[in-house]
Amino acid sequence: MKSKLTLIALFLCIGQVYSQSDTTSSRGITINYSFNNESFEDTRFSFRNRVEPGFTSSLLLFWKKNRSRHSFRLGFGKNFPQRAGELVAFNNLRPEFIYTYQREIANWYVGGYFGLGSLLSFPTGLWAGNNNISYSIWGSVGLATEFQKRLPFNNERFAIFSRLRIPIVSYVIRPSYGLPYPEDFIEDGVFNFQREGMGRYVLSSGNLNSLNTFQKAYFEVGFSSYFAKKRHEIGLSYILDYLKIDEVKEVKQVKNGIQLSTNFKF
Amino acid sequence: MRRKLYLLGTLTCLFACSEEDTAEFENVQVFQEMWTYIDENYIYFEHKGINWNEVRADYAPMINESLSEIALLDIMSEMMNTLKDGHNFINIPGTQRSYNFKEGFEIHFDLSVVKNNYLGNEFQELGFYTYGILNDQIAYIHLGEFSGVNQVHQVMQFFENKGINGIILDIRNNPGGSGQDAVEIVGHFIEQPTTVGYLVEKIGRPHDAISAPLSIQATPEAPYFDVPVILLINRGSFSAATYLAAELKSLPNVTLLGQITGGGGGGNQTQELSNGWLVTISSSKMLGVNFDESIEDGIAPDIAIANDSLVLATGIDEMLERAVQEF
Repeated sequence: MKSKLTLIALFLCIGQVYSQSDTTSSRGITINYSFNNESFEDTRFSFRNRVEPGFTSSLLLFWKKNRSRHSFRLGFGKNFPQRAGELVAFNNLRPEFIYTYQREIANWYVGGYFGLGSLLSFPTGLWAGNNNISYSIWGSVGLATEFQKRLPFNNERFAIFSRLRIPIVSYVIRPSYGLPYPEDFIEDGVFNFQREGMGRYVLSSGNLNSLNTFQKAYFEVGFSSYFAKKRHEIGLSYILDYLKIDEVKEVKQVKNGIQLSTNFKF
Repeated sequence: MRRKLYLLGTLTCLFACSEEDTAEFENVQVFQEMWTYIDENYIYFEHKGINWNEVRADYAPMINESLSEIALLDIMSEMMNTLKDGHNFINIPGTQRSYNFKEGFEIHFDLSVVKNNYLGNEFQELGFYTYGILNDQIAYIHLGEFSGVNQVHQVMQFFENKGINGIILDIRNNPGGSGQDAVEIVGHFIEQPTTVGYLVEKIGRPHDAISAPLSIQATPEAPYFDVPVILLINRGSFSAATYLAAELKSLPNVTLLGQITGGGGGGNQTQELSNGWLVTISSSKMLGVNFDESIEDGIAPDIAIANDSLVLATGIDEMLERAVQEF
């Protein structure tokens, strides 16, 4: 998996075009909504792999000046737990924030990103244990690339695009054992049953991870159409969102989805 | 253009080839999952002197792919029950298997006998709690289950300024609940913050990978009762009810009367097996004030007595009557 991700990153980052682009500035907002097919497995809870529907919605603010582009993306994802015939189901919530800086090189935007996110899982149903939450929290720095090309017909009203984000190094918080407490917190004089003050022990309990233990990739490919004098854009794309944290208790979430995007420039 | 599209398609496939949920489960795999989960997470191996590898050697040969679901469940339950822990259980749809910690004990208690024949109609009820005054001077509180700290204090406040000279706390057949409730109750019988026990957690795969003990502190609660206390217990007093018995036993003015409690010193942790069954086991444990693990086995009474079913059927609660005699 690591070698595959590395190859893809190299392919998208290297050996591309060097032509000049327009010196324009613009700002805009993008609203995304996707329906996903989600595969999920968290060994802190279960030996099963679940495949369920879900959604992801996100709001993206961007501004571009000359050939530099900045964007802030705030996203939230949730599955639709399948309870029929099951003793237990898992509600998975995934909030995420990403800042991206990219430079435009012909049809490409190449740069990096900083992202914060978490995957929170809550069992429902016949769950009788004290381990009633599993959480993973990460902060990542990585590569972010985008390819965008207007198609040479119909007055260039249509375009194709593709995006990819891969982390290089990440700070990952995930309790290594069954209960959700960081080990420093369950010490005499520190622990209390109201869990007061647990937050700072959680935040300081993470580890730096590279691709061998924290694997995350976002890939998107689709097409879009411009309207309103090409100021606005509507797009349809396929997304793949892959997450695997290979700590003592491994968790994996893979989302395949169809995303609808609307992009307004102002 | 076509090349680029092919390329994008190839990239998509690289990611999209994820594992699929399978509908078939192998008995050997499920058995191994449960054995491993217990091996890595169960906290009482050392206290109970159980060699879990030997247990696997005994039961693994019984597992084969031709076993029916129920036959597999029978074998796995039997293996789990070698741990003799009432907090361990297996859930499959419509069925739960657990260790019967009451087996071999005569447990006879009927709250309606207490209500009708001892409290008359002068009793109050709040949640799982039933309370009233016996013989005009003894507070009686039956704690049916622990489910609300605020209710604990409301009940205790009822007896403030009532001129009582003794309290009977009755936790017979109390299956447990919130351990914090037990600590809050203790707070009404102490004047200074008091350590009433310790909690330890499993923090790694080796059997001895256990956290340092966390002290459990009871803090004084109003109203404070400086009177003799009798705690009525039986084998049906389990989990948090046993915690309460252990915590109160360390206080000088408390006497435990009845049968040894049901034990259950562990805290649960649940895992789902690949066939959808749930396995719940003890992965943390409560220790007594002297770091002893007797809470798991049950707290013995200071005065041993049990109700006779035939006598109880006539409306006489011998355990309660003996408790009243102690004042």
